[in-house]
Amino acid sequence: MMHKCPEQLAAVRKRARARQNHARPRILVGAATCGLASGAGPVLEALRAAAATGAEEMEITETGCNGACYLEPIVEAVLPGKTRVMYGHVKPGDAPMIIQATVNGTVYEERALCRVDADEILLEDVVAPYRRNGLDAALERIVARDAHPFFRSQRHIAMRNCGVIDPASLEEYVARGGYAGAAKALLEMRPESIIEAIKRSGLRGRGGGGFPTGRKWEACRKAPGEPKYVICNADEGDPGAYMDRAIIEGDPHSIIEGMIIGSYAIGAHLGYIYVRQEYPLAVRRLRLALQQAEEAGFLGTDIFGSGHEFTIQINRGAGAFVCGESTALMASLEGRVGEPRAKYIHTVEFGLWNKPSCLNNVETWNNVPAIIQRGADWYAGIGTTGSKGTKVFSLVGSAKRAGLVEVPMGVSLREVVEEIGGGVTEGRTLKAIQTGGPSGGCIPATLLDVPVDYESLGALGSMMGSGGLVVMDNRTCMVDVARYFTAFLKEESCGKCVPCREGSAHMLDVLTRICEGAGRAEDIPLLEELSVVMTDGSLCALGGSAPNPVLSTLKYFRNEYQAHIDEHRCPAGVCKALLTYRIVAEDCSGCDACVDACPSGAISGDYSEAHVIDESLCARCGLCVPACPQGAIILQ
Amino acid sequence: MHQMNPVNFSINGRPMRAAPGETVLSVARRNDIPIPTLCHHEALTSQGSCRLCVVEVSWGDRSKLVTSCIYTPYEEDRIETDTPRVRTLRRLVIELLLARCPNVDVLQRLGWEYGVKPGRLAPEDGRGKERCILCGLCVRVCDEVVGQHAIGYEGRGVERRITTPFNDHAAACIGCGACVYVCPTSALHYEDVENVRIMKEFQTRVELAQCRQCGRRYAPAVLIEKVTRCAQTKEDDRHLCPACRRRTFAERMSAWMQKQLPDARANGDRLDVTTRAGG
Amino acid sequence: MSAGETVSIAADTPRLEAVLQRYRRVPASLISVLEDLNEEFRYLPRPVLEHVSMALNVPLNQIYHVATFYKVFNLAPQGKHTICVCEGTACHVKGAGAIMEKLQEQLRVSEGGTTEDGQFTLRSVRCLGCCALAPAVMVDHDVHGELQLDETARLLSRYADRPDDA
Repeated sequence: MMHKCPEQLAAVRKRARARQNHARPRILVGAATCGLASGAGPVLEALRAAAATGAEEMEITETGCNGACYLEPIVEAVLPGKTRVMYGHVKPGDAPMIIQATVNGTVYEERALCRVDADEILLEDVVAPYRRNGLDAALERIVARDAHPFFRSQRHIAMRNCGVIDPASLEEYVARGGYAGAAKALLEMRPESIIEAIKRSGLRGRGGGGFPTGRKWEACRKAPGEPKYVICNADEGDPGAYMDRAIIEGDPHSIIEGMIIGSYAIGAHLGYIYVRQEYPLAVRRLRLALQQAEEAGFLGTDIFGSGHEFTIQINRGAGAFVCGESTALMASLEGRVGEPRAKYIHTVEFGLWNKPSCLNNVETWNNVPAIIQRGADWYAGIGTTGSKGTKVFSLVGSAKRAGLVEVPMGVSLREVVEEIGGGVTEGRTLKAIQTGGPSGGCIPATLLDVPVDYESLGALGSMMGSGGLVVMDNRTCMVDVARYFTAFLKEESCGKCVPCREGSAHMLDVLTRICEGAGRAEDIPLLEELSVVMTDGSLCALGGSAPNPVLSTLKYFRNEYQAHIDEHRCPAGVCKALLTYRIVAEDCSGCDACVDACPSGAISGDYSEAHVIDESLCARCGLCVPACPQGAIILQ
Repeated sequence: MHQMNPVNFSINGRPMRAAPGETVLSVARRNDIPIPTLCHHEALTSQGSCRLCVVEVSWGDRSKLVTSCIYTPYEEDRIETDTPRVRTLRRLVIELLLARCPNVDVLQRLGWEYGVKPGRLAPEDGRGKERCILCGLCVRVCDEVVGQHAIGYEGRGVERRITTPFNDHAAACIGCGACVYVCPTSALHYEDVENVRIMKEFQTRVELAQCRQCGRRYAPAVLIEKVTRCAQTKEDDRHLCPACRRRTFAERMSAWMQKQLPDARANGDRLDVTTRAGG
Repeated sequence: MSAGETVSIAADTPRLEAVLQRYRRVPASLISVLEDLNEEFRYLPRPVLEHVSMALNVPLNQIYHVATFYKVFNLAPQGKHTICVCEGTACHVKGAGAIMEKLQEQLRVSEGGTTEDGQFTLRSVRCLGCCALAPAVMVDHDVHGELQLDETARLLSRYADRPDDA
């Protein structure tokens, strides 16, 4: 099928939408990597098996991740004419009950989380209520999604299709307004007016730097030289951030559509998607989507009859964090090692193969079709003065409700962490939020009212980065966190320039000895000097921002460093070398449970007598603590 | 590159003019302004990796550090080559390199010049016996000038090393020794032992050719082949060692003079012959 | 292909050529070619790299750098199954270190090593993007989330060959 003109696209959309709103019930299983990791595969099989036994015809499809990863495996059941019910923590054993309830047009309350009463088609500004008939009492009892604490203050633009459509179906993407933005851009807009719209929308790069997207496009369009390239950076590297994976796995066509619009605006005919090979499902989904788009004529020659020609090639990143840096990524696309070069000459002028190249990340490209369809002013109306639109954050670590959260720019960190995330794990207290990945920093709990936007996070010595928010509680040692990120960066340094290569190794040496109780008084000034040489002297942003985790923890948690160095104490109880496990003699029943649990044979004592731990043998693994029925083993 | 015309700017307050595409380092060197470098060589592509050549550039009321071996100035840039910020960075870079290579005299001299406090960064895991600072000049000379691609990098980060593929004998090596010659820290060596040249750091042995006159092993056979192909040496001369070639040349010269001399005498000319033996 | 087996270029030329053809022998496709070969042979044998160097006309020193620079490439034979322990921030905070130690103990290998029977290779990986399900471990292409310390043995037994079909 070739959609050469928009009328045809509209016809497909109508057909697909009719098929989607038919009378048959439909079950969606969240089968992104996070869903599969929590057992969505067997759930899907069980649902299919259970549905096969019934007489009622039912459609069971995979979908992406709607962000509520803490509830995985997630299953949604569309009850025609009524509502959509979301189930969480579904086990294969729940399948018959869910199928039965769905057939009966009601809910299996045991696993029900909330119900969605209307389907929002964001790109067309349509909210279509499912509900045409009354709901039964059981359905009425289920909380509406708009009132669910995890969802109520979220605003899904980038994740508009995640967890809603079958990512393997082009038709479903089209049914929700997909590719209409590309058709509009290519047939009704001039390249300059597209760039103008992107500029006016205030969209900024979602990958870390936050550079205004429209200005980047304009510079690339104006740069002399042919051919030009558009590139999608899907080498999502920040540990703790995974929104790009979720968007690719849940809505791959949105990225392709964004790139089609961008290629037309910039004047490029070849695009690259550089995707991490550690995301095998994302690679598969992208490949399928590309093939579908090619078959449909959305890629290739004379797209929509506009005369514009554009194709996309997928390259897999081979496991190097530094390739998230644009010049390193381009070197990698050229088949070379991912070593950055100085950016005195910008990649929009001399990029891939020394030609003008426009690189944006997944979430940035994914926002483009929404801006084109809903208009720049609509997008600019969301967010703050300097940071427009929404941003997807991955709220992870010790957040109670961990997952992907999309909120308007400028909401406070408190709202994200406490209201959406539900605060930290029971019995613990919030200590810090790590934002921006290895190039970012740790924001202490006392500054939780900071609005999340590019400027505010930067002012605190952290950064937006790609949107990782790792929640840390009182059981997280900030020196250990600094050591962790430094170890990461040392491992990922390409080794080309001296400050990053040698500096990160020395920084790690210093942090390691502090964590091992061998820190010296002069170590803190030494860390600060090493930070200077790395910040000022590194060739690229990886090295230049590498000291941020150290500097921000030194700024806000200096006393923890001091405790390690001066008192040989790890206040959070994390740094093993500084811990002592002790059995409180009065509480010990001498049951030997700890002796059995101890892998290093460090615990001894006669049966029913108080036991003792030999500190020289103790590996400080902590396995004895939960093994003790009396709770007699304490950490000092 | 980005500018087509000469650029007017200043270094340390002195007005300068850079040719289109010319770097700050090149302009500074032309004007005898010292800037230290370790990974730069005029004959090779600059990569800006040692970070010693940083200078401070100001425009308007802003300033930043740039790498002079790759930075091409913009109109009205004000470059300073020896500010406190520049000196601090160089001092720390040298300190890092000295921690890696404490026994390299070039670094010791630089350390003294920039006031590096010794011993602060004693590595705890055995790093520090190195002589190689990973400037990559050897790799670039082999790739870009010799064109043999015999040596390269392995790994990344602090584990990065310069070696031959698979750390094994490099079939592509012609034993020319350009890598040894270009190394700023004397980290590379070769030695001729009997009929082979041993590239000591590269597990590579290259056969030496024999001089057809004296029988001495004088240069790698593959190198001679390559030079012949590139430089069109006379067929007879390329299998002679330098000493024999010099002697042969002198003999040829003298034979020619013998022939010329009687005629010259007859003409009453003065023949001024300086015996400049050439190879 | 299990540990210890070597690749004979003559015997494997069709597999090698298939990959080279897939990328039409374009030198810039070097990384894609190596990725496919790394999956095909489960590592990059030296003769394969030497053949690629000639076929793509890319110098061997450059190929060797690429093969040792990127983490997915292996220059030594790998186990039948690859276990990747996620070392993302969320996993680190939630005890990935202990999981790694436990696996090392159970498999009797160190990080990056392959078990004697050639069943498993144990590696760490940057971030699997399953941060809400930390700690996560990927075996081959399956991700397992919220892995508890006492579940590692059962996880391994799901993949290990039973003695009778070894």
